[in-house]
Amino acid sequence: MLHMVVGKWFGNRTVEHVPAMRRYACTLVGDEQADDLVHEALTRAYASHRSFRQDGNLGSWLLAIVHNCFVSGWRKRQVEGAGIEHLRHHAPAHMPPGQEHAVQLGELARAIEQLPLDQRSAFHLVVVEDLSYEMAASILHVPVGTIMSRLSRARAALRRAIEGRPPSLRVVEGKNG
Amino acid sequence: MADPDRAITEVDLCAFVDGQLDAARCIEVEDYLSRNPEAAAAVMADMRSRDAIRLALRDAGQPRADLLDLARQLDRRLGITRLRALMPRVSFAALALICAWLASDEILEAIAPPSQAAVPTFADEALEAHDTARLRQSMESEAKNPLIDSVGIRNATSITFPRASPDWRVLDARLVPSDHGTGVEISFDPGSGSPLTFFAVHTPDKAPFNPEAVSVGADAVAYWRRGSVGYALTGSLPPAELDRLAEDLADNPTD
Repeated sequence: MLHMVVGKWFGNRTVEHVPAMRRYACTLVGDEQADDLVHEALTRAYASHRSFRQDGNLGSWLLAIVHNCFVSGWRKRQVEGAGIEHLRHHAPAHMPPGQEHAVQLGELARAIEQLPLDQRSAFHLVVVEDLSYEMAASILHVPVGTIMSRLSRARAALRRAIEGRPPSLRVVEGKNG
Repeated sequence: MADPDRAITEVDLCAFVDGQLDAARCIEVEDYLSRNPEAAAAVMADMRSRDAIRLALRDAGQPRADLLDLARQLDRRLGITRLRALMPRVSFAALALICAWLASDEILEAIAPPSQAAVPTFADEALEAHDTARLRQSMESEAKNPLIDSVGIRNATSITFPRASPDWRVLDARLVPSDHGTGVEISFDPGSGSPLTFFAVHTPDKAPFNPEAVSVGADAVAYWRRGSVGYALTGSLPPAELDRLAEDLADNPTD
């Protein structure tokens, strides 16, 4: 019981959210610079720890700081469309064996990479991090309706990109299923 | 069944894939998809993309050590802030509790009604009876009964009362009307020259078991209660002196 209480007050809670912060940073600035953006975000979070509401959601507070760091400084210094190489880097290690899936995922990664940043960040927060529309809207400082329309446009673009792939991939899918 | 008035839009399909629709709207979308193979294929493609990306981005390797250090520092900082936010409330509550405990006697005394206000009505009647008794004693024409018929009084009124000290000379004993019914009034001369008036009556008034005395003008009245009977002893004495006499009387056996 005491252990649970102490864990609640001093537990490694931010530590649990570091992977999500890195994933989102990858989507914003690409694999190479993601850790640097997370570093800056954690430093800023420490400095502004009083802005965290005790009953608030730590995960979305941290993601919002990643986003604010990116918007308020990073974007000015860095090239916006640095790409999301991480998708292709991780794909071979985490997908089932088979060249076809890697190719599919590579296509998807390139399509996401080419989305405008606003659509890309909304897509990441909702689809990858599984956040509610309301939470994504509060992180990105936009109305919920804007999140919905960004998602809708992002998905339409991704579908167009995937539909344009070579027909041989569909045959492979049928064989597997 | 789908509601034809609520058209399924691209936004609905998105929200369906993202699990953001309530159950009722989900059923409408599913119904729509069963009748629209193209939309169903698009939704399936969206779901496949979602699952592929989630799978690809899972377990992206151990974060850099400096990031984990920063995260731990932040957790400690947040933990301390959380404790500090809690502290003032805890200490204030504890302080208030300790103060209340230490001062409980004074607080109880403060909220208890002052003793003057607690004087029962039969004690007031006793004071009036005492005034009348003094008047009667000074008038030769008033008939006096210097004998106490305890048994007769008890049979007539079911009032019992303690036997007075043999030193106390009975000046007068009689039944008197009161607010609560018939009461007993006995005038004594305790030997000091200052007469006392004893009064007893059935009463619902609250009174202590042991006599309490208060001063009222030049007189004082001591009152107590045993069972359903209220007793009062009145005299032109200091309250402490009267209280001592009343304690002695109250301790005596009843006839």
